[in-house]
Amino acid sequence: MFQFLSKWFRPEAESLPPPMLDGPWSANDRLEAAKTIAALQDMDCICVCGDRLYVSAGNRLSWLDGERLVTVADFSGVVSALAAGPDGVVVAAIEGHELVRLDARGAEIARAAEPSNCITALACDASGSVYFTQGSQACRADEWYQDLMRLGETGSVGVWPSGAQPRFIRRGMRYANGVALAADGKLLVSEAWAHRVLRIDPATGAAETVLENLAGYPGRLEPASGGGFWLAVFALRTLLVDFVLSEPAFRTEMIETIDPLYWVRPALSSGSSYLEPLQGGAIVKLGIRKAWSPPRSYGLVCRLSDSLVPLESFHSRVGGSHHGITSALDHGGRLLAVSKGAGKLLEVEASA
Amino acid sequence: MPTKIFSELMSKPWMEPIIPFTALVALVLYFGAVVPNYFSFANISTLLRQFAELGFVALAVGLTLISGGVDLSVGSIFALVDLTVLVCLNIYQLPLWLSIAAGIAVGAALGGVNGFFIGFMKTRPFLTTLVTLIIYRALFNMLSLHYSADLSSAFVFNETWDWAGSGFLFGMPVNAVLLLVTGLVGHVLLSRSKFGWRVVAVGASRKAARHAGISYSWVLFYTYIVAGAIAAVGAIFYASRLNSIGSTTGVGLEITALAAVVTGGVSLSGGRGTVGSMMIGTGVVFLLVNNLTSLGVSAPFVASLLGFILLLAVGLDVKWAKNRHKAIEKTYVNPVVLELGPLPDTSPGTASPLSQNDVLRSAEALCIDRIEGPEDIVIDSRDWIYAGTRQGWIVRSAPPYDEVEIFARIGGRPLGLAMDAEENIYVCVAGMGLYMVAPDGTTSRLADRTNRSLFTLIDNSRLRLTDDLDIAPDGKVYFSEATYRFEMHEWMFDSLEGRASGRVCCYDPKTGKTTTVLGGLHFANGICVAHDGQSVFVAETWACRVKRLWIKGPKAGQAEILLDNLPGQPDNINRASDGTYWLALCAMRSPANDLSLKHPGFRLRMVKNLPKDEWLFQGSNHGCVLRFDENGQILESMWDAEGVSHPQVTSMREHKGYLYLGGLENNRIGRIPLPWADKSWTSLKSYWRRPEDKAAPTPQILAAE
Repeated sequence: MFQFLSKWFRPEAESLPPPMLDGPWSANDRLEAAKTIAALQDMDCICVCGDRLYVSAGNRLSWLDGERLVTVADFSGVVSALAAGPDGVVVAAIEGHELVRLDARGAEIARAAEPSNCITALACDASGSVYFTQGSQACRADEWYQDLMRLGETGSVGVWPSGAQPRFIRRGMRYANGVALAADGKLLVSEAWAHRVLRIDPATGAAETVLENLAGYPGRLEPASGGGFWLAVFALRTLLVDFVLSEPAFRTEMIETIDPLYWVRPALSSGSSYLEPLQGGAIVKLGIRKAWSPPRSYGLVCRLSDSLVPLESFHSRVGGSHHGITSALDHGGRLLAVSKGAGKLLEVEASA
Repeated sequence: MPTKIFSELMSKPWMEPIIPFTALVALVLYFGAVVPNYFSFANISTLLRQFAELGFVALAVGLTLISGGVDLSVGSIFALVDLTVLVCLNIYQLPLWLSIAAGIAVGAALGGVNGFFIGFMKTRPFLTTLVTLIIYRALFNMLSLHYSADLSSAFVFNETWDWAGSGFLFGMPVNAVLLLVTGLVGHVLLSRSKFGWRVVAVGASRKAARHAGISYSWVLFYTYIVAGAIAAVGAIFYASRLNSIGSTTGVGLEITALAAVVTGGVSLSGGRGTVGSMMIGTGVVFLLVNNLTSLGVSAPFVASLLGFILLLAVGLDVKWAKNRHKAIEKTYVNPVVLELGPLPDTSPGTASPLSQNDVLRSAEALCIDRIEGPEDIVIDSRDWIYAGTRQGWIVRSAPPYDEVEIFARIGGRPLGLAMDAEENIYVCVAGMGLYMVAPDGTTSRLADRTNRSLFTLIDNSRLRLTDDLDIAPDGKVYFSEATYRFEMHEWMFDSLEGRASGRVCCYDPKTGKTTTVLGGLHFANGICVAHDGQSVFVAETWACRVKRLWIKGPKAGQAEILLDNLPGQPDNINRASDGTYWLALCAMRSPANDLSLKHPGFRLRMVKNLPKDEWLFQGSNHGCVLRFDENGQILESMWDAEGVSHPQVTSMREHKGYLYLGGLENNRIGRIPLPWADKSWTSLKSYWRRPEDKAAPTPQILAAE
């Protein structure tokens, strides 16, 4: 009844507050304590293709040779997503251009006819079909906060079959931000602004919610080696951001008059300027900033089981630096995670 | 704005009986319109006379309710006193004064029996007085049977007695005048006397009263004696009016009286109620019962109506007590629009005096982890540092500033400090007022109130959030009260309101008086007397500006804006050795927070819907100290922009070529060298070097703590 009434009076209000970090989500410092194996500004997405670990950062695609990043290709737009296809093929989404298939030397094999915009994640199946999520039709992937603060609902999931043209599977999503293939052939898609993960039938587009009311904004999904998936959560929700989303007058004026760096919004990194908004709980007291205070940026990776039950999580808390995790996967018994906020590739000894 | 007035009105004790008062006025107007000649002198005087009889009984019941009990036996006491007086006067032919005294004595004694059981035997008031109601009534029935024959024949003429029953004093019925006097005395006793306070305390919580050292047995004993005596006065006037006895005298009176006082707003759970509210309630019930009966409504119907009113009043009483402060809480915070200028550019590496640097970040840390929240610091002639901490202490540290010792325990939250020529420390204690700590550590209170503003609803004479101070050459202490609307721990509400509720007060040591010299400030914070002693600088934290208040010369009493549109919120101001001034910025402005200041509705909903830790705040995690001159020019700035060692610098004091830094929430005192500064300059010498200033008058102490 009350929910109905509050919906009636404030239709934009979020119905549920973000949950506590509890159970498998309990906070720890495993991500903050992680070893840095490579550092590069704007590092965003990683994928393993053959023996190589490919890393995207800005316009550049590189692979990791020991501790050195070797450039594979430079593009004319930002590489917004990567995926490993069969036979050593790497699929990349180039902002403002198209989806491309590349071989190991970076040479182009194929290109989709339709230009791509704000492709947030890619996944390939064994037949070479590329599934992609598009966050928004209105903004670029590195300006995702524009879509959040403008209450974007133009995300979609699509497929680019090998040798055919791309088509959409489902539209009207609130920033589709990650895709992985489940064992039953269905797609798992994270919908960031709706704080949930959906299971979508690629043939019909029918969706069911498998994980909902997450404490953060879910990002890319990657299959884990022992079964299950890795979910990168690039920022945590706060009551303040949810509140600002329900305040049209304030939000509109903020978007119009303030530099996006200083909006009330989640961020991939924080604390560099006093112009960033501060929440009461984050005030430093006696030289200490509470790790549990409302986070503007946060580092979080979660491991999900085959049936999408959260099993364990890796955190970098308030006051830490390994924030804004955009990509995570395991490779050779180690968890690799990209902290886009810090511009670092991190390595965590994954527990058994 | 209407919600502000509403919440401030609701917090007034005299607003409690607003509903019964409205009902009373409405009833008078209604009956005045319906009943012919209602406002004639004869009708009004008859009504008043009968009202007064009930009024006394209502007072008695109201008093016992406030004490946490109830006296149901008043009706029977009423009847017994009535009988006593008439028998004394008419049968035994005693003098009038003796008969009246006998009546009051009987009333007091019967009340005393109640009081003895309730106070000392700890029986329940309801059951006890229910039992005495029956016993007293039986006693009355037996005695009236015995005396009725004699009473009906005997009749003694007494002029005074007749006058009491039907005469007038100052144009009003005698008993109404006496009720008025009793009511006034009762009001003063209840609200201003030790006995009254004890009754209220026992009524509110018997256990707490006992813990406070109140002997509740005696308090209750006396309460019921007084209640019996007051009821007796009503009975005496009743006797003088009717001069006869009936078997139903006083029957059901306790219910009418109870309905009356509860309708007036006297709480059934004790500890709450005033004489005024009892009288208003009595008026409502009396008018209803009396006038409806005279309008021909049947008595049983009136009785059931009375019961219904009682039920309604009891229900409302519970709801009211439960929800009143919630209503205040929900409506007290009232944000307004506060528009600041465009944010000044402070980006690093520019030639601007505001350009960010890392000077404060590398400050030497003194007393680290041994001091909790040194909001302000003073340094004496031996180079000892004194600071107020969050525990309510004044602590001090001697060079080399490793150890900290407690110098004085004041309590509250000591904030701004200043030192006079005798090295007495003056301190603004949030929640308490202006205090002084002598060099031997003894503490005394100088001021805890100022004159009340003329046009505010809430009484702002009591000092709440005294913040910073400075001493003028003539010994007058200028101090700021950040806000009169909130306490120290609620400062963030004031920040969210953005109202100008701060003021500057002046304590005059010659007279011991404190007066408000400047009001309407947005969180009046730092105070500094200019080098020439002609003006005082006042920091307005929320408005991000510094005002200059002239205290001497042609412009004395005027205030003007000196620094405006600062990049952050100004806190304490202190003198620098080269004739300029230091200014601490306790928080930096952020674009989002500035925007929220333009949207009061946004802030209000934020306060209501989000927990405190989630609220949007100004940037308190960054440190900045500015230096400015008397022309309002900013000369330099020193930063810890990332707040590594000095987030939220709230004060700084220059001393012998160093600048010492304090922080409201920090765990250290910082120190940075000032290469250009005069190495012999101290703040103390700057204020008190001239010999004539040495003779600053000793402050007159209001109360030794």
